[in-house]
Amino acid sequence: MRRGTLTLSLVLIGIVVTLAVVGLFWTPYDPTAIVGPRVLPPGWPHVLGTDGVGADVLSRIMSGAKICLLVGIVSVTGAAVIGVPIGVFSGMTRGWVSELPARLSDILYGFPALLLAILLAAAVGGSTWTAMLAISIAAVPAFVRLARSSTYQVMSLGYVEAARVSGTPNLAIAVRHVLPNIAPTLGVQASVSFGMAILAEAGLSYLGLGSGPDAPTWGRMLREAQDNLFNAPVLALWPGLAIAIATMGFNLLGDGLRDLLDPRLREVS
Amino acid sequence: MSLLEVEDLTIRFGNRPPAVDGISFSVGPRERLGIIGQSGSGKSVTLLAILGLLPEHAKVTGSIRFSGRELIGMGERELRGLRGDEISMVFQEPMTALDPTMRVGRQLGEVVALHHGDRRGSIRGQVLDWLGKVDIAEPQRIADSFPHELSGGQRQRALIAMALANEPKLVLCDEPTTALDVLVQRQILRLLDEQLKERASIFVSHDLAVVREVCPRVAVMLAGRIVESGEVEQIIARPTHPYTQGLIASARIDRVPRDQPLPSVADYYDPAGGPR
Repeated sequence: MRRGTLTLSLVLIGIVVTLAVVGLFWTPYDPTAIVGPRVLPPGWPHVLGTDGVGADVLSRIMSGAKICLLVGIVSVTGAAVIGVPIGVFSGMTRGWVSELPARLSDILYGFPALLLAILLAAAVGGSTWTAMLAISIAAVPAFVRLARSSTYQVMSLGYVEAARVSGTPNLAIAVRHVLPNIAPTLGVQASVSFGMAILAEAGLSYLGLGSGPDAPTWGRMLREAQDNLFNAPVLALWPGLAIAIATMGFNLLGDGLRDLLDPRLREVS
Repeated sequence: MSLLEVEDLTIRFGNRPPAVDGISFSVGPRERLGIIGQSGSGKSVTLLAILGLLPEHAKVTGSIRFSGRELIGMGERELRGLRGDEISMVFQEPMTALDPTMRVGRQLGEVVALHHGDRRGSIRGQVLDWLGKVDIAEPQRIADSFPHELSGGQRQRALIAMALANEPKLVLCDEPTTALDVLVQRQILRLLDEQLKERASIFVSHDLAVVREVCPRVAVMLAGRIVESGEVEQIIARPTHPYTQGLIASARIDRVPRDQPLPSVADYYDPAGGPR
């Protein structure tokens, strides 16, 4: 059953990655050009049809996969690079230097990512980068919290004590002993955050706060499909399906990894 | 002159009664001292104090001199230089004292590299050498293994090698055989006995039989104080403190007739009101 979750997640992610990688080098048509009549149903040569202005839907989906993965990778990496060191530091120290980052991230945790993105977009203008920045900032607290609590756990274990007794400096303990041991847990969080980032990016570009018109994202396609919702509802299906596949893939990957890492669950099976 | 001199050491955590209450003892350069006591008697806290690893909120008074240098109040950097190099420790839990993500050989090597960075090139050789000295049959294979691939006895041997790798002057052993089964316990005791001959060591345990086997001199700790100390055989023959009497009586179950309840420390000593 658990193996199934992991396999399914890899299949779903595989679909998205394949679309993105192929889309990097080749799309059937120029995703931003008008290449045919408007609102063609799926068929040949436009496999998924054309949209409200006559652009090839499959090409746009492929191009959107690229952006979706880019947003996920950049914002999750950014959040981890900022959040993990803060969390590890906070977990290794005591007193107010330990509490302050934890409380600040609690406050940030309660701040909706969408609102943050709207504020940012209002301040510097909407673009893929604004979206990534906002999603990244919103994902930081999760990493701080998780890194902090996992570090707490690791710090009480024998090998950290052994390292301290051997005279290992704190930075070396953090890099050699703490990070490798909390990495699996962080991996699970990264996967879940990745799914959330994709969904958030879709939401932002649906609201017009993400990428510009020249970069077709799934959220943007969803919004454009709204204009033809009654005469061509299938136009909303494709980007919606893509968003669902990608988000579900990364969420299931997180679940699968978590189960794989949980020794209690491992014994039950 | 003694290598380690502890004088009137008192350790408090907050407003609770002191964890260690005015204890004094000394260990010569090749001497071995056993400290016996139940959990919470303050023996492990004493070891941590010698290493300077007590939590920051601990209040420590008195004096700990090592090679003539005062350790209480010594700077963290200087203490770090001592730890693992001149003073090292063998742990109770071989299962958790090795990092599961690191190969055993590398973990041993780190300790050497930490204090003797100049020996970089020869570290692998030294690691294999030490693994051989603690009677590990295939040093090469063990050095390249992860901790979970080793048995409890092998792990404890590796940890002993780690504690000895920098030829420390003082080795602190915190219940080094408690987590091992009886047969392995015996082998490890013999190994420690052998390897610690040329060094000073402190052997902490709750098990009188274990301490008797390796330590000529012993101190009995109770509620943060040393209540009795001296030659181990003498103390076993003529214990003066009721707690020690109870400890010895409870170890001699062969003298208890059938159907009689086994003696326990509580028959001799009542923690609330002293002797019974």
